[in-house]
Amino acid sequence: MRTAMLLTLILLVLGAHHVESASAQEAEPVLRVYGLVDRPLNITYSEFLGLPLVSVEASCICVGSGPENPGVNSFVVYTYDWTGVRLSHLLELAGVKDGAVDVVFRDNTQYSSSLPLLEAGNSDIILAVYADGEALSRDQGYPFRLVVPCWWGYKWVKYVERVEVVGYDHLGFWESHGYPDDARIPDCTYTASNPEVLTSPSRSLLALGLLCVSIAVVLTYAEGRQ
Amino acid sequence: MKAQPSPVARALLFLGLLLIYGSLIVHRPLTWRGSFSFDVYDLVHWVGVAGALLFLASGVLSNEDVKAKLSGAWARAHCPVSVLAFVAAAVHSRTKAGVILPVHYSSLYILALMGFLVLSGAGLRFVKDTRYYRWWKLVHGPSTKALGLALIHHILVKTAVI
Repeated sequence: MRTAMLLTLILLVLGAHHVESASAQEAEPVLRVYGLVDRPLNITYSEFLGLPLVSVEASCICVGSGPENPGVNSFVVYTYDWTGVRLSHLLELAGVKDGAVDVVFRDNTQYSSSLPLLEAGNSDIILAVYADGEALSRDQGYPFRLVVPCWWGYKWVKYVERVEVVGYDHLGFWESHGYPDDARIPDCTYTASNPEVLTSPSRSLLALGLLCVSIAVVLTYAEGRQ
Repeated sequence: MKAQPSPVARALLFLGLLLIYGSLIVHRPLTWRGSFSFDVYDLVHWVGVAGALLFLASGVLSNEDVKAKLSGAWARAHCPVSVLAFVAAAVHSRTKAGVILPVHYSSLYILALMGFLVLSGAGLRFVKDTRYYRWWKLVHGPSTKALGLALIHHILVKTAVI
């Protein structure tokens, strides 16, 4: 009993120290998916990393000129092998309701942009957390950055905090200043690698574990028959 | 003399339970190494800490040497303390997202192991039919050990130590 009390005391002291040191640290980023969905989501960054991740190599290309002539003098901002979760997978988890029209992406400022729901099903559109295998830097849009290959850069929303499914045609920050809502880049091509970089739970380990459990059960059953 | 399961069967079950846990954690080669929060007001975290402490206390209370030194209700406290630990773990394991994500699989597996533990413990304590004794015994020991190791890993991961 004395041992148990001592251990409890040690754990409580460690726990209190831990809370003290952790309270000064930044809270874990959370991605909200809400609006016209059956199951609104609050996914923490670490939970996000546990979702099936895919990769897509694509360039973020800035519009470069005014809304009256988008695309003239456009320039490549950066090309990376982006890794993240498919937007379609997130929407599938949340369950989009009938009547949804647009998917709106918002950061923690007034910036927003949107994609038509029909386009959101494109498997190359992802919410990225890695660029070339490294966690996104603040400049790259940490923690979550929308990657929309072959769409102008203003659709690649950085610092995404909220994904809202709405029942109307949303106009984002630049779209409401005259840039086209349909921001497809003409004649654009990109490397559509899109391999799954994370797999489901290890099937071989699971099979081996189940085999061991089965043998244990069979052994015990056989012993009982003797 | 009640029939005991063979040591081989117990060892295989222990190994199997651990391998299944392993299969649920190795699918995430990319992990987040950033800061984490453990809000003092987040009750669910503290219920989890309480659950782990109760599990530890339950283990201590099951020790024969400890039981010999205790008297009355304390000597029989192993069962109710285990049930309390399970209830605390069940409350703790609710998911924030409202849906079960792959990252939750290993945590829910730990909860399931705890459930096996409580069920087999109840079987050992309350089921008088000795034909089933072997089965309760087979499940109880290995799942305790597997749960202990899985819980240590769970705590180390959740507190960003590893």
